[in-house]
Amino acid sequence: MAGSMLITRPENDDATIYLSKWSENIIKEAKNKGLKVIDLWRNKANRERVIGILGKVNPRFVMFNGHGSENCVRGHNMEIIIEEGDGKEFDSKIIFSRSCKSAKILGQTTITEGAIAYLGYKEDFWFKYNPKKVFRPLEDKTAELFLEPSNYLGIALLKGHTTGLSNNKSKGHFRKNMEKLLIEGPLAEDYDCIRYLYWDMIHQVCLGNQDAVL
Amino acid sequence: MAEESKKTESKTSEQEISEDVKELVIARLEVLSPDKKFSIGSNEKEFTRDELIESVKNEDEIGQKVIDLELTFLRALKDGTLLKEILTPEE
Repeated sequence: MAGSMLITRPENDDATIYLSKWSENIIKEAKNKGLKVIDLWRNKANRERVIGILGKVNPRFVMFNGHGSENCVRGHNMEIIIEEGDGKEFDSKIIFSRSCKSAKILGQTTITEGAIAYLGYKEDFWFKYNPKKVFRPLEDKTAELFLEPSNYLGIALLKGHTTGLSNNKSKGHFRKNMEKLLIEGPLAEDYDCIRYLYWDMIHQVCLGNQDAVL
Repeated sequence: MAEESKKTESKTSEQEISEDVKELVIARLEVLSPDKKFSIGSNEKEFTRDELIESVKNEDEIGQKVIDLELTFLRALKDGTLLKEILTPEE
């Protein structure tokens, strides 16, 4: 797989630290597949760099991590890095935005303005975590219930699956985790996570072309 | 007069339902572990179980989100959607 990938990884609170650390597996997979990864980490996850790279390097795959809203995605220290009106920057790109609600309006706009596909969440992305693991997020079994299935969306795309199938495979991982907790029963430590996993799964969407590949 | 009385009755009923829902959601939150935290949406702040309960009591923005999520889940549980979703075979 040739080409490049842009990823943003702000780290300014617990949530963004978790998303950033869990994205390391996606970066590893991208490098294994031969993609050049442009990793905008911490204060590099700013609007100026994102817009510059989208224009100059023109990566086919773009992944955003961070807080968001219906019409924007934020970078380090909550700077708005992409908002409604920037749609043209995404011409011919596949975007996976692990940020809340951005598929609702921003995602639709990017598709209208030429993006191939926009994968993300139409509502808030919830996850539960163990604060004792905040310095080792990859060892947090509670957060893993949410972040592994979400991660798998990016991994599946990098494995060469279509956008629609990647979304469905990722949802399959959410289902497996819910099933596991149901089988473990109400006494399981994270049994209550079923409701939050269900919420994330039903609001994860693939907009645009369902048959596109990286 | 009768119309006004009907409106008042309906409003009282809605308020009662709202209180019932709040009580239900709070009861469901109270069984959660107090030691874990939640990341919710665009909030930089993370929330403990007790903060979520407080938000539901106050009916603030986070409280509304919690109620929305809980009701979505309970509806899916009741109408069988949840089980159907979980049993959907992977492609």
